[in-house]
Amino acid sequence: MDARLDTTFDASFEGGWWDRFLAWMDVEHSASKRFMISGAVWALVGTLLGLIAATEYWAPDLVHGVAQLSFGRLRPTHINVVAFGFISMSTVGAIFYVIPELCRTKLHSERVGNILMLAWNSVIVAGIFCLTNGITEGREYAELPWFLDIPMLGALLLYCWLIWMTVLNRKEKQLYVTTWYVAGTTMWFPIVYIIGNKVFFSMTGIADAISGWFYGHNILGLWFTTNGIGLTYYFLPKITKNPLYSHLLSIVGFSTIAMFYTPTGTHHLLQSPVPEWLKAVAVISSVMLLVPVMSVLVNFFLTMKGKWGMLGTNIPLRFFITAMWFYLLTCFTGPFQATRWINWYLHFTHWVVGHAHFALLGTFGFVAWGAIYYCVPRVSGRQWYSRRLANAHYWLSLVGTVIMMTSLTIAGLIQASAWEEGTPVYRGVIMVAPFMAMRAFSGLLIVTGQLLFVYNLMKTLVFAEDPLEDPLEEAAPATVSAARNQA
Amino acid sequence: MSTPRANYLYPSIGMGLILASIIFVVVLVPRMTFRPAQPKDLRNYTAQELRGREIYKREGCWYCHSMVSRPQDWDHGPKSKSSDYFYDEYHLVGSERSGPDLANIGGKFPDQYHLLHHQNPRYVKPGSIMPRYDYLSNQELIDLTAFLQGMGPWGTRAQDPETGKLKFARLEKYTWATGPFQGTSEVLAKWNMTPEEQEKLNNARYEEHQEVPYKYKTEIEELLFGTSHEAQAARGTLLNIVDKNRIAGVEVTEETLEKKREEDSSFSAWTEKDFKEPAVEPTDPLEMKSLMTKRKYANYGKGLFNNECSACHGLNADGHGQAAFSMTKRPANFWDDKFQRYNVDTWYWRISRGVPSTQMPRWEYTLTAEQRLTLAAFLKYVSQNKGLGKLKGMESDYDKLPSQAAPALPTPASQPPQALNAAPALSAKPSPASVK
Repeated sequence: MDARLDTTFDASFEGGWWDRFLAWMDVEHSASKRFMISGAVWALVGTLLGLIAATEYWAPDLVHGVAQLSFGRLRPTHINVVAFGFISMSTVGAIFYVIPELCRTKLHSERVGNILMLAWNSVIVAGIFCLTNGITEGREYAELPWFLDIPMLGALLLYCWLIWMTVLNRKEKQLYVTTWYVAGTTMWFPIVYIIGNKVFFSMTGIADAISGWFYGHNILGLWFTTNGIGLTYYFLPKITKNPLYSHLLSIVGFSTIAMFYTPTGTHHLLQSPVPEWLKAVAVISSVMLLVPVMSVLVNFFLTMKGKWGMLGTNIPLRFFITAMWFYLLTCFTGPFQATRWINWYLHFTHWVVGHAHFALLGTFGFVAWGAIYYCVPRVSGRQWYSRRLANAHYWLSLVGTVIMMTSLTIAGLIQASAWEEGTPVYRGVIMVAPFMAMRAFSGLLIVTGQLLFVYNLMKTLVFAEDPLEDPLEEAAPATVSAARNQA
Repeated sequence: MSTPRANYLYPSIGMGLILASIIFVVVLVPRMTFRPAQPKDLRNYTAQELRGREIYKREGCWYCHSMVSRPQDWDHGPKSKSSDYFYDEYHLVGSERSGPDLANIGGKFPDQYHLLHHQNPRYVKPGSIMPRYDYLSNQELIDLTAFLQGMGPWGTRAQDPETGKLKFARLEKYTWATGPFQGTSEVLAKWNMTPEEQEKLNNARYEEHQEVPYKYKTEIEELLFGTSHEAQAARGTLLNIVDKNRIAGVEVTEETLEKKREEDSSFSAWTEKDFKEPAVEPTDPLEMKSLMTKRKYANYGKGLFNNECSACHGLNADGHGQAAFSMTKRPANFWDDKFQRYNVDTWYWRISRGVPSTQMPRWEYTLTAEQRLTLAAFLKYVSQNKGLGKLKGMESDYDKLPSQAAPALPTPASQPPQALNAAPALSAKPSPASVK
């Protein structure tokens, strides 16, 4: 590792390489910072893998004869890198900054945090190697093989321990909403992870799909959502300096999310031969999800009261608010597409793929980016290298996500109506080819955005260059020419 | 730090209990109570098929191909049952359908098709977006094919629920003469059946959903069209016995057949039987016998039609059934000129698949293949003769020659030919459906 990664690292430190290594791991805020750097790099890698897969989707002869680049292997690699690398690592990095702040204490152990960072990154690297070489468990979102599941679970438990020790040793007696969400996640997510991975828990036949989708939906609901929403609960009042609109709504949102999210998994199997009562439970709880979602969003949007103008100048806030609009759309369509008749029509189409991108990229991807933009200056003491690059990253990601959403949604509707008419499946696939090309183009925009993002982050942290322009959170000049004049 | 835990202890325990009870209900209760029975109509996987299943999982086939046939799916075969998954160690149900569903793929295509298709899908399906699996070894492709051919009620894993005997056996080895698999003789065999199995199927009552295997030909099939397009293509040959017989004296090769087809547009691989009643009854006993056979099968179909179709299409097949008035899309009138151009394949396909977005059901779920073929014979008869013709009042003695027939059957001379085109009386009595 490059010593320049830590501006606080003392180059004149005396001792062997092991002592230097331990000292490198003990730097304050270093775990948070390194988690966020890893998250940003995995965002670039993951979206690039997605772009290759999306291009192969409409140009199938682009790559052939290379097993590692076959679509069926790129797709799980893309999902795992983006979910466990990008979103998980970025949010954990932000949590390592936010939770100590809320508890008015330090992270319980920076060293454990750094070990966690190294272990987590190793699992992702090994995961890319395994998945592209066809070593897979064959369950969606749980493709990592057993010898990576065990270290991953170990890392998760270590993370839980770290969060709990930090929370228990807090100086601030009151627990804020964010802490509820993060600490709650540490309670339930290891259970969900154990049930979802075949190493620990298995059923045979179609029943395997029940546990598979219990995990497949709850990794979203009880990991990404609770972490992402918890972080937003911290950042929105913090940035706008408005008090949280309603404490009661936050209690309602938090206490219902675990209750209604947990049984929804079977809505992925509504026309499959699994018990009908389980499907009924899944559909009802899916619709009931509107309660936590709407209470959270009402709370957020009313917290913004009077401060909407800040969106023009404050880039992290812009990411969070965009994420919340995407969250509104995702979670408004989600409960309805889980009902029997809409699911009957839409299941197995690209609509669902679009919905997944809406939730993971549009909502929690944006939360992760916003959190990195907010936390990096605070954990490193350095302002961002370039405001304009951050701005370009925002717009490229936004336009890319919207194009991806539009194309996948239209493609899904075309497929659904084609099947309803009795058209064979593969004719339907040919019909949506233009939209798949559009989706690949949107991927290109997103990857370009990530490239700028990683460059900006590296310039800020690793190469420690002085900021070119204003910080992200202060009033920027209205026009580019004004900025030039000011400089 | 004055015991801050106390404030949050009870809510935490409460939340934990709620969560535990939900997990108990949605994960552990299904594990304890949901135990699909061992299927009687499906055997376990062989070692080779399990290798193929591993490849299917490894290559991520299940990201684009689902393995569940849903009630609303058209053209996917029977609905999946929970027992179909009994032998699966891990599920491959899938979450997206960017390619056809594979729950019932077995037996739909010959092995050679699968092998070529995996080598490069564009060889056999132009416009397909499936990746090429040319990096798999021949053995892996064969294993994968063995797995796919086992899926569903027409696959190699299908067995008779009563006797537990396999329905379809693979007896022949196939050796590739040319192409990427040249010289490979391990390639799985063509579909075949032992004479006993064939005999059994010939005599068996049809189970629901059962299709005609490629090698199984009934008299009615022979009469109508030899076999279906799909079956013909699946046999891997476009050479037709009829064609071969028609150019006797010349050495029959694909080239001569091709040339002949170019010269003579009526010379097709499929010879459709004409169901139009001749203006004058033939005197040749053989021709008369052939005509009576056609009438016999059309009459079988008429019985079925009266039972199943006449409510909407009318007893005379003119689209004026009792239920027709309430429909926005009117039932078809089979006297229409356009129906004269329908060949048996089209009739069979339309009856089997139904008409999407109308009330015309998908009859393959309720009628056997043979019943649908007799319906096709009846519909050809009705459309070509614009009416019930000689079928009216034809209830018995239909397979006796006129000379042997009972006096009740009108003799050919007493029936003027123009009567065929006359509108039939509405009081046509329904015949009993006398199909097997």
